[in-house]
Amino acid sequence: MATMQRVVAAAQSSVSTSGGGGGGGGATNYASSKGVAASCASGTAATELVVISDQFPVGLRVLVVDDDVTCLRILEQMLRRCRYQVTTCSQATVALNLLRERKGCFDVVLSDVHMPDMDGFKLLELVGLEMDLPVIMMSADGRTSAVMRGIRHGACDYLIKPIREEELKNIWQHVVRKKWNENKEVEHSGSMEENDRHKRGNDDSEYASSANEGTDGILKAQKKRSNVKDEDDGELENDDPSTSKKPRVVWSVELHQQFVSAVNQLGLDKAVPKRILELMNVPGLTRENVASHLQKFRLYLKRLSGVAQQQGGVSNTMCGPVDPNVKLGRFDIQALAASGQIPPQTLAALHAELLGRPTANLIPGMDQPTLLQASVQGPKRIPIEHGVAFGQPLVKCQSNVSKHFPQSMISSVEDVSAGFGVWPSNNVNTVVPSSNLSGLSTQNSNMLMDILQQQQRQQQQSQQQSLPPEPSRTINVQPSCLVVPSQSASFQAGNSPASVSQNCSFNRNSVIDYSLLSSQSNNSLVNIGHFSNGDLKTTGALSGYSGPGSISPSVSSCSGNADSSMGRQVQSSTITFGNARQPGFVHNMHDIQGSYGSKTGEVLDQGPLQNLGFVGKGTCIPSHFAVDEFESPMSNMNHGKLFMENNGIRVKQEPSVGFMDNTKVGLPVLQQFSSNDIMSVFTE
Amino acid sequence: MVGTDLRQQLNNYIQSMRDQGILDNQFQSVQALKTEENPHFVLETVTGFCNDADNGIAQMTRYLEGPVVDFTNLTGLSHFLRGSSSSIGGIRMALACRDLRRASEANNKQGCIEGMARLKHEYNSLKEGLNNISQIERQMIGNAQRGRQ
Repeated sequence: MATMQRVVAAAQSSVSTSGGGGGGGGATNYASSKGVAASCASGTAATELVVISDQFPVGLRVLVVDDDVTCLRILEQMLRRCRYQVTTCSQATVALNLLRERKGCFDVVLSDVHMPDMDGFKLLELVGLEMDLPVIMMSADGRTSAVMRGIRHGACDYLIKPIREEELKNIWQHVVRKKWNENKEVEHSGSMEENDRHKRGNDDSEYASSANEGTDGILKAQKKRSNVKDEDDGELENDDPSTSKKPRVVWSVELHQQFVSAVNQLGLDKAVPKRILELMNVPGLTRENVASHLQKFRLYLKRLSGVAQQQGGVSNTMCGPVDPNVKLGRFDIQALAASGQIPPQTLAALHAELLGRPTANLIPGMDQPTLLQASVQGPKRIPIEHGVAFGQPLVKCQSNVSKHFPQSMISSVEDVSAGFGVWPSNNVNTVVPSSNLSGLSTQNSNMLMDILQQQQRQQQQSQQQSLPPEPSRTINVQPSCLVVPSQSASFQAGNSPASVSQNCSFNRNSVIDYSLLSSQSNNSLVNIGHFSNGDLKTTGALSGYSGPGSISPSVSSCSGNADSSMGRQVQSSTITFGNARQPGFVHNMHDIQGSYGSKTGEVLDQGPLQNLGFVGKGTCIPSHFAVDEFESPMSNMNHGKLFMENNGIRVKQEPSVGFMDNTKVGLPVLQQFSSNDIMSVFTE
Repeated sequence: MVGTDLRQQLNNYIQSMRDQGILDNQFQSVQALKTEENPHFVLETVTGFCNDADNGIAQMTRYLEGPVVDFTNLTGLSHFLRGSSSSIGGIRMALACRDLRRASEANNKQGCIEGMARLKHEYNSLKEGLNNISQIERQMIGNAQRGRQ
C-alpha cells in the first residue's frame, strides 16, 4: 500500500534510495522538489521518499550499541547478512552523539541493557525522546523482571542473548509499526480537526487540538511506558482511526499554565487530577485529560531530576559536573543549566518529554563561540520587547550558558528568558533560534533549526547577511535554553521566575505553536497560528533577520498574518516538516499533506524546514519562539513536540553539507527565523 | 584433499565440543557468518572473545580476592561475560557466569568463590577448544589463500 511504500522508502538506505531517486510518489515531492537533500551524514540514503517497496527491508539502517565487542561483531555480521545497513558503537554516549548528529540516518537502534557508561534504558529513553526511533533492547538476562523493565521503559522489543539471526531479520517490523502508528495519529488528528474546531472556539487551539490528538496518540503509541497509563483519556486510539472522535484537549500555553498553577497550589505530591481540574475550572476539560497531562508532567519532572544526576555520565563535554542533588525547580534547573551541568540535550529531552516528545538534539556542530556570543550579548532586550518578564535567572543563565553552547541549545526549552537574552544579543540575523525557543520546546527549536539549516543550505548566499559568517554564531541562542526549563519554572510558582515564566508562557504561544508546527499534526500548525498572534509583534522584532532566501520573504508576510491563516498554513507546513526527510516522516508527511492540503506543504518544503528533523525533538526552539517559552510552551510542546517527533520532523535530514556544516548552517538559519519567519515559512 | 580433510577435522572437533556441552548451536551460527570477504571472521571473533574473557576473569578474581569483595562490579562483569560467552556459543561457561552472577547479587562470598572456580574451569575448557578450532581455521585460511595463488 502506499503507506507501506512510503515507509519502505523511508527505511531504505542509500542502497534502495538510489533506485528511488527523486521520484517516488507524491510524498517525495516535497523533499525533492525543494532540493532538500536528505542525505544522512553517512552519505547514504537520501531521505527522499522513494518508494522502493520491493526491496524493503533491505537497507534498513540499524545502529547497534553494546559494550561487548564480541556480541557487537557478531550482530554486525548477522545484520549485514540481513542486508541491513549497520553501524556499531561500543559506547552509549558515543551512540547518542551519533544519533544526534545524524538525525534521520537511522531507522532502528539495538542496544544492550547493561553498559558501563550509560544505562541502556537511559539511552532508550533519550532516543525515544530525542529521535523517536524504535529501540530494541538486548541482554543476556532473560528474566521476566528484566524483560518487563525493558518494556516499561518503552523498548519496542527485548531480545535475549545469544541473538539469532532470525530474530534480527524481523526487526524491521518495529520501524514499520511505529511509522504506521504515527501516521494513523496524524490522520486521526486531521479528521478530528473539525470537531476540535467547534469545540474550542478558538482558531488557534483548533489546530493545536488536532495536533494534540496526534501527539497524544503518538505518545501513546510510542511510549509504551506503564506509567503512562492514563493517557488514553480523551486521546485517540492509535490504531483506530475511524472511531473515537473524541475531541482532543489542546494543552495550550495558557491551559498548561493554569495546570501548573493548580499543581503548584496543591503541591505536586498532593496534586490529584480531580482537584487540579477543580482548580483549573476549565469548561470542557475532563479529569482524564488532566490525569494524562499530569502523568506526562510528572515524567518530565522525573526526567529532569534524573537527567541532572545523570549528566556526569553523559557525553557532553559541555556540561560541568552534575550535581546529584539537583532539585527540580526553576532556579535549580536554571542554575544547573547555567552552570552547564545539565546538558542542553538533557534539558531539551526533558522538555520534549514533557511536551510530548521530540527532544531536539542540540546541534552538535554548533560552535561554542557563537553560542557565547549569543549568550553574552544583551539578554534582556528581547524579553522586554516581548513583554516577557524574565527574572534574574535569565541573566544568570546567559552568562553561564554561554560557556556551553550545546546546552543552550537544549535548554532552549528550559529557559526562555535566557533565550531572549541571547537572542537579541546575537545579531538578530544570526540569533540562534534556540534562545527563543528555549521557552518553546525542544521540538520547536529543532524545527527551527532544521528549517534554518535547510534554508541555510539552500540559500547560503542570500543568507549570508543574515547568517553570521560563522555558523557557530547562530548557535549562540542556545545558552538561553539551558536555563531552567519552563516547566520547572512554572512549577515552582511563586518565584519571580516562576511568575515570569507564567507570564511568558502565555506569550509563548508562539513557542508552543512552533513545536506543534513541527509536529505532523495540525497542532503544530495551530500553534504557529497561536504563536503568530501573540508573538507576531515579538517576532516582528526579530524578523529583522533576513532569513534564508525562502524564509525571509515569508517573514515579513508572516508578521502580518492572522492566526488563522498562520494556523492553516502551519498545518500544512507542519506536515511538510515532518516529511522533510525522515524516512518515516516522509511517510507521515505525505499523509498529512493529503489531509491538509498541499499548499503549505510547499512552503515547508523549503530546505530549512527539512531541517526540522535536525533539531530533534524539541531541542531548540527558535529564539523567537522562545519568547514565550516557559510553561506554556512546555505544555504545548508536549503535545506539539510529541507530534513533531512523530512526524519525523525531528530527524534532520543531513544536508550534503555534512554534519558539522549543517549544524552550523542550520543554526544561523534557524536563528534568523523569527517567529515571523517560521510563520512565513508556513504561510509561504 | 587437505582442504576437505581440514574441514572435516574442524567439524568433527566442533561436534565433540558440542557433545560435551561446551559449545552449542550458536557457534555454528557464528561460523556461518564467515564470508569470502571476511574469512577471518571466526578467528577474529574468537580471539576477541578470549581476550575479553581473560581480562574479565582476571578482573573478577581481583574483585573477589580484595579485602572487601566488590560484588557490584563482580555482578556486572559476570553478566558481561555471560553475554559474550553465550554469543560465541560457550554455553557451559555462560551458565557458570549466570550462577556466579546470582551469587554475587546475593552478596554471597562463598558462593562467588565456588562460582568463580567453576567459571574458570569452564572457560579453560572452552578456551582450549576455541584455540584448537582457531588453529584449524588458520590452516584452512592459509590453504585457501595458497590455493588461490
